[in-house]
Amino acid sequence: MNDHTNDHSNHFDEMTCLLYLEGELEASRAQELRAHAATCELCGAMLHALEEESLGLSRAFTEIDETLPARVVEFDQPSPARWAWPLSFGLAAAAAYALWAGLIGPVWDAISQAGFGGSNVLAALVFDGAFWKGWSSMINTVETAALIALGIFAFSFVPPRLRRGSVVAAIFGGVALLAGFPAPAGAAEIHHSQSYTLEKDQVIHDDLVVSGERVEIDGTVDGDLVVFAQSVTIRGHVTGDVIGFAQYLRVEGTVDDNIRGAMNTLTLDGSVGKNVSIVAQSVDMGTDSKIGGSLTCAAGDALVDGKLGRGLLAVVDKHTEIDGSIGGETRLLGDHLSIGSTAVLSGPVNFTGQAEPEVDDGAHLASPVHFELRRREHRQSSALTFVHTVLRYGAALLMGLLLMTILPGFFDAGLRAARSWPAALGVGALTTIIWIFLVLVSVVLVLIGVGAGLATVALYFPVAYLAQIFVGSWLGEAIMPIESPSTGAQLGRLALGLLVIEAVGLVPILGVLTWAVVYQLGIGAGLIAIYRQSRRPAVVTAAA
Amino acid sequence: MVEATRPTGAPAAVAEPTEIIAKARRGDSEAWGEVYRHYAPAIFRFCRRVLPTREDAEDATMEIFLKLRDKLNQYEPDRPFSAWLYRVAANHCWDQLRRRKLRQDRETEDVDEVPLQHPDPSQLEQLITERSGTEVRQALGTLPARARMALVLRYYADMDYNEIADALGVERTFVGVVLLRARHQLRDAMRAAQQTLEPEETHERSHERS
Repeated sequence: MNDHTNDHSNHFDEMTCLLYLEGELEASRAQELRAHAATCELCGAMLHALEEESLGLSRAFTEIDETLPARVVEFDQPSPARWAWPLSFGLAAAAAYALWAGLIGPVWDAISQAGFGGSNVLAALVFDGAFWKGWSSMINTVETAALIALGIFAFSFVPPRLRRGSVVAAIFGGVALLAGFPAPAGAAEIHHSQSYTLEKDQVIHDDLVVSGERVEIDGTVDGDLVVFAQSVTIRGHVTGDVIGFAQYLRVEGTVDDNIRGAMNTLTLDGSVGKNVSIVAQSVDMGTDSKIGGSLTCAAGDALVDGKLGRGLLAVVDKHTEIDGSIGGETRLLGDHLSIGSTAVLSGPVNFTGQAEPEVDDGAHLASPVHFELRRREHRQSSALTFVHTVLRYGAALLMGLLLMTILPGFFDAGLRAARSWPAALGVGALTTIIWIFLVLVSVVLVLIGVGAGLATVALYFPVAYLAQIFVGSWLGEAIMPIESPSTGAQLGRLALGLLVIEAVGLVPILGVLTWAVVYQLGIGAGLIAIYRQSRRPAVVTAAA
Repeated sequence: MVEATRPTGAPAAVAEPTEIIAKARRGDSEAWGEVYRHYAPAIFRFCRRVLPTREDAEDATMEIFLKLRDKLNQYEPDRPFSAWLYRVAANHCWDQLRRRKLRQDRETEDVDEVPLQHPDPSQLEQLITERSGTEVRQALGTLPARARMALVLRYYADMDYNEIADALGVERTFVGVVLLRARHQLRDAMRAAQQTLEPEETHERSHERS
């Protein structure tokens, strides 16, 4: 190695100067150089320039010029412990149960309190197999969600080094392809048009699924009729069930089995072989109408002028008038009941209402009406409320844990967004307004889209849980500020935050306001987080 | 008078979370997560400086930590953790470059050939002080793999000559030569970039005047 002065015969060369600066020069040479440089301007300048260069290089190399990419940030973080998966399934079950208990339970209770204990009104209404046949958009949503979940699950098995845009695109492309496959053709005949008419002499030897603004069945459906429409008129014959979602459903013909569904007005002038189970604003059973089984309904007003083979089980908000005959027991919860002179009630009559029933002298009753005054302000029992609160709390906490372990990046982004709460609140409020508008449009104005509308409503629940998690974490963080907390600490903070929300949420008026703010803020934070997460790779690319 | 000093890269200067490292060695996955969060950014930057593309750097960062996790019981706690970390990282990146035949620099060339050109100290100082970090890094990207690697190992990872010799597979006595030549190549690259920029700047100025 050349460590002598070269063409500058009186000076040290660059190599020697560098080795000196690096502490790599033997002691005697270093001493020699130091003594020389003290008097030699050129060598002093050389040492200074090299030193500056070294520092400049260190500076340039250690400078933070780009953030750590998301896939690297999330890689090799503590993997969810083995118990996380069973916990996740537990969470899913708890969330489903909480939804059931929180949403459906109270209605169930109300019906049970009306004296219908044991008659599974809602189970019959909602969970009868045929009900789901027509709910295609809901099923599509569920299937799509399942496929996306499957995609995310599959993605978690992709080695981290392969988690590039192209692989993500391939997986999600595959999922989309799966979703895009035409569903195997069902047995039912499916129609969708502005207006559908089954002519008088036409017979469909199959189930008929039909949607449109106006549906008229004058012919025969040898199977079930599933219908979504603004106005439905059945003058013909349906040998199976009628499952309907409509603004007006009018039956002048014959339905051999049951009528089930939700509608604004049900007008019955024909006959139904078995039972009618519906939710409607108004139920009108004409003089010539006949129901072989029972009528079970939740309605605003009910007029029973026809013939009921068995019982009447109803929750009627305002007025119920009975002028026809009822073969079985009558159990009714409502405001007012009038029993006209032509009424023939063969079974016992139980009425829980705001006022004594008006019974015409000419009415034939097997026994006097058993009346119970209803307290209008009756609410769910406090024990039930407590159970629901605990369930909701548990479900939100578990969902939070799941989010922290599976999607820590998203969780952090949501928490950050919640910290700048005015923006999150604004976004959340705007979203809710749009959401309500969409639901209104799809459910109320265009009744055809009721399935999609319900799906939109159903989507609200997971989002509402997400909202609680972000706001809860933010609150917890405000109460217990910890520098770079572990998952355990984060969970603890979430638990505390949620507890505060639940506690304040129990206060009568303040509670409603609190929940409103929590939902707006949380939804806003979630959306901002999604937006930021989707923007992040682009930012990194730009920096690179 | 300039004293003989060893420039220290920022990553090594950061206090090491020894307790967490010890926990991670005992198999605590939470602690390992902490270690990852602590060191991943520095290792990512190291890989970013050494490897040709950002995606290569991302992959390498993750692979290095996978290796580290497996090798964690080989780490001797009485030595600095970051030094060990950079050694693993350097070996991994160098292997990557070799495997992908990206080391198409003049490796056949004798490593003991000292650059003959003796720079003018004032010009040299001007060159380094006038260049921004981004310009230096861009110039670094144009260098042959070994030159780039040597500079990063020395001035980013703060490795000593023994460690650099080990990582690059050269004799210790030649490390200085490799470094000096790398510096010369970097200066040339920066000058070249400056020259391509200057005509444009002059052009822009003439436009501004008109």
